[in-house]
Amino acid sequence: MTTPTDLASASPTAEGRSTSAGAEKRAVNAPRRPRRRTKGSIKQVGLFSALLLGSFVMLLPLAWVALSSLKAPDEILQLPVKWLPDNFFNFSNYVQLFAQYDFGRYIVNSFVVTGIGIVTSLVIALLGAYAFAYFTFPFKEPLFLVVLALFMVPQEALVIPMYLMISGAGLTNTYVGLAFPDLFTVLGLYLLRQFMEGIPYSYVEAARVDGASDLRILIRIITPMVAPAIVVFIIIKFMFTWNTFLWPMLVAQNESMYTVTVGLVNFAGGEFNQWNLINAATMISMIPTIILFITLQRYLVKGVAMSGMK
Amino acid sequence: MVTTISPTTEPSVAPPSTRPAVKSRSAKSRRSTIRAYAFLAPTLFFVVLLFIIPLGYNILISFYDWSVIGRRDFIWLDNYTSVLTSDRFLNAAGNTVYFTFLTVPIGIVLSLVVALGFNALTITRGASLVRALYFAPVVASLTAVAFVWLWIFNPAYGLANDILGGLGISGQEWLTSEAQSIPSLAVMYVWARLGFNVIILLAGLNAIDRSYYEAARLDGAGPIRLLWSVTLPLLNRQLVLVASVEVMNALKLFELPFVATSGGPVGSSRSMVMEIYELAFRLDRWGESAVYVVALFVFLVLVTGIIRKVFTKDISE
Repeated sequence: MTTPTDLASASPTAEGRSTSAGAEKRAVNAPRRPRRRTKGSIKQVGLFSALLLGSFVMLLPLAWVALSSLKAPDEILQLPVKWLPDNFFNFSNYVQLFAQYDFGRYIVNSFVVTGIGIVTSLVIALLGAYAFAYFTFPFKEPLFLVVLALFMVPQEALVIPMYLMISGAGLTNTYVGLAFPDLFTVLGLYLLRQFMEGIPYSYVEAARVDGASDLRILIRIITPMVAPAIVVFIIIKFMFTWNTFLWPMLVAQNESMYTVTVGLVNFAGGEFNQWNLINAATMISMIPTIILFITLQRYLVKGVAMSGMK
Repeated sequence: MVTTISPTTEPSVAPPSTRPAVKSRSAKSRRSTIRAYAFLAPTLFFVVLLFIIPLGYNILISFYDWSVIGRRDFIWLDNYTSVLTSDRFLNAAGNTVYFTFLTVPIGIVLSLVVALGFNALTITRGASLVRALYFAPVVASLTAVAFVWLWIFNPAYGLANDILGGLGISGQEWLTSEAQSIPSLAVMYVWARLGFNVIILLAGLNAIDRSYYEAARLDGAGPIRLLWSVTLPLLNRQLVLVASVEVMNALKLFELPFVATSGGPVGSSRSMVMEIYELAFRLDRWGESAVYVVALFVFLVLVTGIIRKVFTKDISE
């Protein structure tokens, strides 16, 4: 199995490109540098307490919503404000959202759209990263720079022309239409290329000499070796696609095609001031990414750190 | 770089029997180029489909009086002159820039403080859990963030005024006040983005070689001088990245005001992307909407350019 530490060991740096890549891998993956042990020092305890206090402030808004989602309708509008619910196991708000409203459907839609986005962007990124890592061809560097520059293009700003394209193609209210801006992500190409360049070229060269096709090399040799980067990419991509709102709001015009974020906004607009339900709906929209965060936190953090280490 | 070990290197062993024994170098590299572009084809296809065509299409629309029911009148720069002088545009642009200039510096300073704190921490037990809590809000969608804080900022039943009341401070109007709406949105946003920036800055801090500090310390540098002359210059790359990403995200502000304020009160929190949406989808004025998009890109290039300039100066000094 791959563990986060494999991120370092799975990408041995080849000679000649070890300086920058080496520093980068070390920074992200290396065990903590040995430091002077000053465990008892008062300064350290004070620092830790301050950071801990800050983390409670960070957590408080989420905790407040979670607690509010367990309150009964009359309980939530009590004054003075009650922080804790009477019954910590009152899941009736959640039950109601799935029974009387269509949150089950929204979640399925979000999973389908996110799945399409992950699969297509991953395949495209693997192919593209392989080309940039293991071929020389004319315009390679300028092309890569152009692709990288697209990092800085806010796709949300392009919803107008993209919507006209999708509606012109008759793809509104379809999963493909909903996934359209997410079919390709520059980040995936970038992450995978970085990772592939850490794999010694001799692996590829040896396979080529043996007569293996490049597609076969990519599938059989390279893909398993970049598996840790793929995991990181899938997590980040899941988070981004799951959380988009503007595009699915435009493209999903039938309620049956709503994603979770669109369903949440639509629901809250209709149930104004039913705050017990709105809080529960907010929790439902976050639960998949929260689970992802709790279980795969180290990969997620690693992915963010890696994307910043160029 | 990979160019040093290019695939055109002649194989040292005998070529495989399926291939001709003698082959010119150029023919081989041509085949390699064709194969490379075959692998790149999907990437290039989607770059054109998702970026180039929409960008071009948007610029085209901006020259038209364009309605979804089929009106397509070429009016040259009329959309630009009418939009750029309208109160509607100046208000939205002002709000968006105000939001950006509030959130980016505050967000960077706060995340730098937290990252420096974690970097200086030698207590390891529990540190990763505490760090994770800072990151937790990052996984929430901005839509969810808007609802979280809409409830917290609720003037009657919200947590914010309850806490202020406990401290003996009178309740605030938050999102329902013209003066406080953008600052309230900035609070939401900084909270949501902090963990992301902390992780990037922390990775950068971890990568700084200890020997720089030791050398500077030998020269008699104090902690503030170490921060200013060693840490920040060596953290330059991450700071530029964080600042650029934050500017981009702040300029495309949409979900927070859309959900939490509907752009109000009295338009005090209407953002550029909100106007892009409203003009096209509610008012059927697509040409004007496209002008907002162009303006947004101009802002983005300008502010990112300023950031790069400011931070490059820092390092050269």
